[in-house]
Amino acid sequence: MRRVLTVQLARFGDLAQSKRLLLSQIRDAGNEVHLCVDRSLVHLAQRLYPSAVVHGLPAHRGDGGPGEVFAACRSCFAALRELDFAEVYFLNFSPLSFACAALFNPEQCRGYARSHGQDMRSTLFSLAFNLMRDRRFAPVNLADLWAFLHKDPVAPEKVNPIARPAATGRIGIIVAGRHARRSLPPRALAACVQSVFRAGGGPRLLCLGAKEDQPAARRLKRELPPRIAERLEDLTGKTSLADLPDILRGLDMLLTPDTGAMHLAAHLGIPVQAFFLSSAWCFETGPYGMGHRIWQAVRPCSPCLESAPCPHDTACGAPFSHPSFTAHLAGKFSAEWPADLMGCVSALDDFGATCTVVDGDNPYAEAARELRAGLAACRGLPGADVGGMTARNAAFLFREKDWMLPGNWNYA
Amino acid sequence: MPEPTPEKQGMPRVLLVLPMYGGSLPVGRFAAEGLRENGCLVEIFNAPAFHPVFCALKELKVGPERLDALQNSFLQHVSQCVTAKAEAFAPDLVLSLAQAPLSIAALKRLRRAGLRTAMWFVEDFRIFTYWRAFAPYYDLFAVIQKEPFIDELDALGVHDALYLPLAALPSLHRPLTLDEREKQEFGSQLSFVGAGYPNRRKAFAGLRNLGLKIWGTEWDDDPEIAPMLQKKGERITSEDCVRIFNAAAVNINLHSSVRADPPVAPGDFVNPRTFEIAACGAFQLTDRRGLLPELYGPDEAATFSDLDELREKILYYSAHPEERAAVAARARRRTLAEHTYAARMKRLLDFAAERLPGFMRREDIVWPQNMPAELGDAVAALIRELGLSANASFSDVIAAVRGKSGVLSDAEAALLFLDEWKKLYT
Repeated sequence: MRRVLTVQLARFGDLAQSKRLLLSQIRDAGNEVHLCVDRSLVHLAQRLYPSAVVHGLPAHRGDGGPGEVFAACRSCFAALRELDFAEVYFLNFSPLSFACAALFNPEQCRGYARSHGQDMRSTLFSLAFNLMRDRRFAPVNLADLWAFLHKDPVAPEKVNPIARPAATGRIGIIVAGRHARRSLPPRALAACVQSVFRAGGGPRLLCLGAKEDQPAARRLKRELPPRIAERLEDLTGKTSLADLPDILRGLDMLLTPDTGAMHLAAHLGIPVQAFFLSSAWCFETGPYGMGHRIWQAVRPCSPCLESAPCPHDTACGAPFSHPSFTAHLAGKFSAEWPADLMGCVSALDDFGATCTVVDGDNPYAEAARELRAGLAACRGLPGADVGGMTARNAAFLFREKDWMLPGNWNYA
Repeated sequence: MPEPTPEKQGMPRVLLVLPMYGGSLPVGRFAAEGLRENGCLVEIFNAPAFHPVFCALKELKVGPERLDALQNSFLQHVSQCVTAKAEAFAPDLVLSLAQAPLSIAALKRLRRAGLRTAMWFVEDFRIFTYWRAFAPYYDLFAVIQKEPFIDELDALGVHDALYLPLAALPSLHRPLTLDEREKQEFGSQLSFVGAGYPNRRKAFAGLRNLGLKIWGTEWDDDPEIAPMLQKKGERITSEDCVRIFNAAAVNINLHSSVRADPPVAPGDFVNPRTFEIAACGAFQLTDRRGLLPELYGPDEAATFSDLDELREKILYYSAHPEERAAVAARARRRTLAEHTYAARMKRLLDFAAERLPGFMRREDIVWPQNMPAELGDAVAALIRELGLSANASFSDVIAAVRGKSGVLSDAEAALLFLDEWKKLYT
């Protein structure tokens, strides 16, 4: 038996996005797959990956104080060390992740490692950071990037089921993501909800979210016409993360910004209508699998930097309330299309997940396609094309040091 | 678990920047030990690791101007490595040894970052004159000479200058019992260890008939010295120096001069060899230096002021082993009492505390609250294992753990995790 561990200390959306990597590990004969997550996500991780052994670390803000965090952490580390892993996959570029990596020899580690007291990133992740120099051309979905740490990742179509409505007459609405700027303004969301409501023949609407989303849910309800508002059930703050899979499983569709719930819905095969704006970029973190729609704001400043203040009053939210868009959402023909919006369908190719633009124009499509081919070529990945490594790719994918100096650390 | 008390200030944290090569390199390494003996958390910038690149530049066979430019940009790059390390380690003091690769731009950057710097300039200020350009950019400037150097520094605006003579490291420079093979290899009636400066060549040429053996570099082209030269003029390690000092009846200690005449030149500062031989409990004949009397009394040091006196005293002390032993014993006692690197570094730290406002006033000494007792024990064990002082603060322990190479223990990794967790959430 060969034990492998994946350390995924980010949010539950990231946990769902780790699926292609974890399925690849699970598929390999003789592997015993372990997963280390924040302790609040242990139960969810067990539900998502029932064949994996899940370990919990206090990686997120919680109730415990520093002493309790130390104790829990040390106990978890002692258990992990005992297990003598053949490979340990670190997925997060975070100081907490590097602290965990200090437990293992760099030869065991994939993704990130600590070598001679120095935090290191692998060749693949260095390349990913190079790509982030201009996110407009993003050629790879994060779920695929993580999967490429594995030598032979499972085929993209094996990851999530093709999305199909549950035929329950229920539509879920995630009113807000963790980052307010990445969520639709209440009025725009209300316009979208009305359109979908009409197109769906008056379904039940379930407003989903945490307690802190309740004000946003109330605002949404106020923005809706009474006959629609009365069909809306506000469940924000009334359900837990553990309830979410069952709730999502019973939906015909989920309206959402780029959230963990979106990835969970994709995992379950529930169709998603996702609104991507601000720093969210569907070519990086769009829903994985077939059968989803993504509406991506595209302005000259898209995708922006999450941590920087917006000098444009979040103008990228405006096209989502444009009449031609809401008409489109309602299933009506409209000759117009908002200039700052792309309508995409989720798609898969040999390489992984992508978004195909079917409404509006993607000004970066050609460059992204070329980079995708280049990335596949240089990593020997599925979909590799010997002509992929163009001069432009060579300059963009790599920094000079990557060509000329020995790699810091070459594991994946 | 260590309980923070008002007097506990955390461990002084020092980034010691070694030079790439040369005589101040071992002094830097010994100073690091001295700092550790003072309870400091020491991180070393290992500049010698960069030396091969510098050597490679010299083999480029490009024009001298291009080579100058390349060497300068190389120095800037290494300086940036120092500043990066300093910013990561957050020391209370960045201590450079003479010729440490720290450009003025880097010193300015460290100052802007609020990091305190000190130079231990263990060179002759009359020969290594670059101090005039660099001294104003250091917060403290420690030197091995007194006037007029201190006055000249003052005139430059460098008011925080400190006379800090060289020293010995008793854990290395100590009496040894050598086996027969070592006695064969390192033993002599009369020895000298050091580089072949012009004054030494001239002085030692006439001592062959007294059985002088010479160890060290830069002698090899001198036919008069060649018969006395040991190990083909190879570089001698610090450990072998100690064996040679221990195995000689009489150790000559002649300070270097770039001029051949006079062979025994007047000078002020006292070289490291003086302290090292003394700490070994070995006997030395040293040339009379201006600053020697305040370091060793007349019964603790046998001296000479010209070649005639040197020859005369070699003969005298060779014939009087009891007197040699008595002088050497007194010199060793004085050295251990006053002239150790630990004592020098204590003086430097005291001086820093006196002259640098806010030195060592840390805000990070507080330990996490609610640490369960059993884990407090684990942390205390870690402090012992890492060799940290009882004054260690939480951030000192973290810095020591970060400084470790290799796989960390569960407790060490958990502490790193906790530190990052604290930064994120508290």
